[in-house]
Amino acid sequence: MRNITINYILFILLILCSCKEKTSQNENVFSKANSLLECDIKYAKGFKIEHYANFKLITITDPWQGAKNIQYRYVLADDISGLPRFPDDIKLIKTPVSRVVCLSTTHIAFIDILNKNNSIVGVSGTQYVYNPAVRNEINNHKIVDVGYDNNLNYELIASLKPDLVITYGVGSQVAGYNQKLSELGINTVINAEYLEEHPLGKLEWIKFIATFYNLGDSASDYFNNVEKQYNELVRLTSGLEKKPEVLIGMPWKDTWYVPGGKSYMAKLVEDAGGDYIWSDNESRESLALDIERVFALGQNAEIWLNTGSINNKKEILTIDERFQRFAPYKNGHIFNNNNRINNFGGIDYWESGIVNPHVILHDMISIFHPELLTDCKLVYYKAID
Amino acid sequence: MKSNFKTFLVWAFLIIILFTLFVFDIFLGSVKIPFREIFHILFTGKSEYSEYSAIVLYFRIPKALTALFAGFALSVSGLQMQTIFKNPLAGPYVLGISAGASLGVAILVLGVSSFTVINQFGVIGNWLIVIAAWIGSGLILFLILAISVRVKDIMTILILGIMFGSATTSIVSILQYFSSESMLKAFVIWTMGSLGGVSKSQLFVLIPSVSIGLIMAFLSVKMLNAMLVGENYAKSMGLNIKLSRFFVFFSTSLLAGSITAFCGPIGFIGIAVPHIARMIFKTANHKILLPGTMLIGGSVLLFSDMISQLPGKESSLPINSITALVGIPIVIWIIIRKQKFSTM
Repeated sequence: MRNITINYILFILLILCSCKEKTSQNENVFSKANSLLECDIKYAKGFKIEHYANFKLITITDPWQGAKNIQYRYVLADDISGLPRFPDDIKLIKTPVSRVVCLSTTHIAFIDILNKNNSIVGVSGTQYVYNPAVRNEINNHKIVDVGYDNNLNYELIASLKPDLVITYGVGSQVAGYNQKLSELGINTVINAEYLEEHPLGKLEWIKFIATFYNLGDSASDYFNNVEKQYNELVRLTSGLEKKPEVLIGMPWKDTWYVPGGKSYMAKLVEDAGGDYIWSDNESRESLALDIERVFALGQNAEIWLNTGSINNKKEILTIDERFQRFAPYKNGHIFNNNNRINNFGGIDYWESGIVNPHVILHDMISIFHPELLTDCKLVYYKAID
Repeated sequence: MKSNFKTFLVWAFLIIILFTLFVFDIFLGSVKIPFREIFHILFTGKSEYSEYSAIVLYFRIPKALTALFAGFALSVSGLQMQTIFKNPLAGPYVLGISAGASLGVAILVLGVSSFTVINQFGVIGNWLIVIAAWIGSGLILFLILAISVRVKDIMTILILGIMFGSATTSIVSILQYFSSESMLKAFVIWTMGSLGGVSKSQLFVLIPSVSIGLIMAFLSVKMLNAMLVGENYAKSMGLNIKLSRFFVFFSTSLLAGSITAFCGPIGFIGIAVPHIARMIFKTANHKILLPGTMLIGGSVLLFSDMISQLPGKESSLPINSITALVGIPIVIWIIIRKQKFSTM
């Protein structure tokens, strides 16, 4: 009996060793010598794209908040038959894809820029989609709703026969969805643009999405163009002495969630020549603050942004009547990012805003420093009076 | 004579503690305000710094008053339920009041907003949530009351209360399952409870409704004492059992329902505090237990609120987790120390 156990253990060890060897052998496929070029990624930190002779390798690192040393790798090729053997963790995806399911509305924005709207067959939360062309397709039942987070309709997704499901994750549970979809034989990729701290870093994920359509060049062209416009706007505000103090968000009861000092919002405010109250904070995640703290620190704020679902000043008082004593409410300027909103509360700021950081920045400069611009028409923001 | 003096000391001590905690709750918060400034604001209503006076007058005082009255209400309703159901682990929520309130809020926050057109609906204001919670708990209360006048056995009501509670909880889960992340977050934050969201004008509704509930509780002292001995004894005393139950249930629902509507469900105060009162006064007489429970309940919730503010820190903790951490050890300690609830 004992002998059998020992043999069994030895056998397993043997298998494990041989597996390891095989993996490292397969890893040679990706040696530097074979790589033709690495796609130039300037701001995004979450992915890289390497071009090889007959395939492309995409590596995604730590694609959700708090993920450590987690890596997903995808090999993309037009012809997947003649490829060498890859390590086991690699997912092979045939390009270009023509049927895509998007689990976040931001993915639609990327695809829209690439003029590939007609490839979208399913979306999570169709009612929140703002894009008019895609909305039209939803109304014509050409694009279906595939359900939410824990409520994804796997059978429906499978029946759509997608080439690709673009997922996103706010936690490790995304690994669960991916697993489940993979079991159904569906290719999934994680798009983690929401973790990027720089607005251009978020936009840069368009290069990631474009690779699946073989549209890398048009993505780069679009990106370079926006980057140029964004940086020109930043130049306008650099060196400004007088910066208005900026407050962001709305409280829920006595807790006020404000963006961390290293967040995307904080970066936009800084680039637009504003002085964000929590700019010294080191976090990129939201901070939960006591409302009295915000009342005290926000007392001198001249600009108050992103006030939730608010449309006018009266509504702020229905949330909490104490705001009538809040200086930014009395004397400040309030602007909300819900200028473009659909009937169901889907806000375009969070959708196409992702591919138009220069437009958001232009809006913010129009609010903070109208004297710097000739045209101060707001796109995503609206004044709350 | 000696024991009278001792009793007097205990009462004096409890009142002083309550008063001290109430004052401290106003003086401490996440914003550091000099004590002199606070005194100035308290006596004149003004300060050189307008944000200080706004914080003290519109945030700290309403919050301290809410904590005080929530402590009174939850602990007294806990005492009532423990006596009526003769169950040491009964609390204000055994009747399904909190579950009913959750259902009301869930339908408003999760249901209405995910299934209808938000733009036409407008902003979900503070009052709207309070009203939804009130309707929800009122509905469950109505069911329980309707049953309590028909059903003889008190255990039946206890079980039905728990069943209604479970049923509403599962409806809430279904709503959660179908709602978007941001709405879910709004609902989850509501369930964590909050004392600081109550504004001055809401206090004008909260304090009177709690006061009516408390007055009813004091009027029911004799009934509660009689029920403690047994329903048959109570009947022989000429007490109308069903009417008395109805009266007490109504008082409990007014107390726990109002607090849940304005502050969200706050746990463990209702279960733990009556036990502390029994320990201190070593009596089962509601004439003493009721005011004692009230004073201790106010103190415990004020104390929990002070901890949740993490004085000097930027952020605060949800009040519900603090009351659980304060309440659970007390319940465990009492259960282990007094395995027999001789005074119940």
